[in-house]
Amino acid sequence: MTTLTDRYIAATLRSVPEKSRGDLERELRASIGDATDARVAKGEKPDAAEVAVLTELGDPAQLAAAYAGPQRYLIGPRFFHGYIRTLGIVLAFSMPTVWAVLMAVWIAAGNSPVSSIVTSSAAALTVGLMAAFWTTLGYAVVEAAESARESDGEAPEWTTEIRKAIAWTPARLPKETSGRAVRVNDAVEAIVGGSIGIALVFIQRSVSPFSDASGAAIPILSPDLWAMWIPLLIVLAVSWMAVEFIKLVRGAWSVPIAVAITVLTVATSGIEIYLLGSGQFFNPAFLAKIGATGWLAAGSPLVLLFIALNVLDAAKRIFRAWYSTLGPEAC
Amino acid sequence: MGDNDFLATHRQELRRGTVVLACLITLRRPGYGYGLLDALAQAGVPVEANTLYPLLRRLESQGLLVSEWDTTEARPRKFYRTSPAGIEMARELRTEWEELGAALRLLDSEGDTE
Repeated sequence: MTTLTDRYIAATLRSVPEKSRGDLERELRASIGDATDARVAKGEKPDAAEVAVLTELGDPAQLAAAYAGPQRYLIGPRFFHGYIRTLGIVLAFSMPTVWAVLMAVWIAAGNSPVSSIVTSSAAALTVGLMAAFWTTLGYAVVEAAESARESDGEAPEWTTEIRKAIAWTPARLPKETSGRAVRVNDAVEAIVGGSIGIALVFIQRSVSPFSDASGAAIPILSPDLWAMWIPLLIVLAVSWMAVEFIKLVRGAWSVPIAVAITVLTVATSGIEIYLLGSGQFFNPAFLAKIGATGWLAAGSPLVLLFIALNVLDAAKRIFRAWYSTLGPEAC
Repeated sequence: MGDNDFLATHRQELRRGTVVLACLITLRRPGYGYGLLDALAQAGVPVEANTLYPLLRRLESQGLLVSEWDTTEARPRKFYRTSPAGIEMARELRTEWEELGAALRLLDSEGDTE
């Protein structure tokens, strides 16, 4: 017959490592038995005594957690604040951006407001879930590395580098208390902006307001770009995210970082400006559908405006990188 | 949260570390889970079963306690005993505890003279 104690022990052992189960089961059974006997000796009924003892021991999941040791959380108090803040920023940026862009595109394409709202909301939700997932995973990895460091000697080897990278030292304090400090926004902008950009480049291949005669979606960007330019731009975007991440982890600007940002910015903007200027950027079929062929032809005022904005943005990034690295005296 | 709740929280914080010391001292003579729980409660160091049992295994894994199964009685029990390393640790913790007590008394008496 299965007693309440049997069920309690089974529930506790479920999340305990296999190798310690046998020993723990015998010990727990003896402890529960002893406590029950002590209550019975004081005049309680056996059944009531058993219930009281198990109630005192509490939730088996929590008991199992106590046996497993203190680190049983995905993201602990150390990183929780940062996690929530990052999650908030990431979601607040990514979801409305995706939603607004898709809404604009779909409404512009003449879809009904209802179908536009449904589609863009679904896409925004998907992007939000992805962003939340990667944020959570990132923090969980960092937490696991830190926990491994604390429970000395049990640190798996792969965490050594991560531990080194995130270990705090006073040297990681920003050099200046004002202007030159690394802004968290830079990393968030790079990682969120970069991932959304990359995601949109892929999404626009299959999700488009227009379809051709065979029913296939008409992409916004020229399909020819996939041969070389888009993969190259993706590599540049990922490198940019990596550099910003390294900068955030280091907590300070440095000349190599400023050089990397300059090179990446010049390369990215150069490619974009070349493609825009030579009319290779947009899909001609898409432009024809929205009637913007003339507007976005090579050398048109709108294209020149795009190019000017791109140059300004690149100049701003490069100036900020060197200003932050060398300080006002040098610039 | 009322004052009494705060008192309970702070008291728990204060006692947390003493349970380890109490276990190491008590288990210089071998004891088993429930027996130790009862002995500690009698001695005035009450501790929850779901705190004590995992703690015993943790101290064992740290080499501060050693264990042995006693199967001579009807109910087999796991007996823990403080290891030499545990005895050394208890000595150091106890010194620490007494120094803290002395420091608190000193701080208290300095407060009186002002």
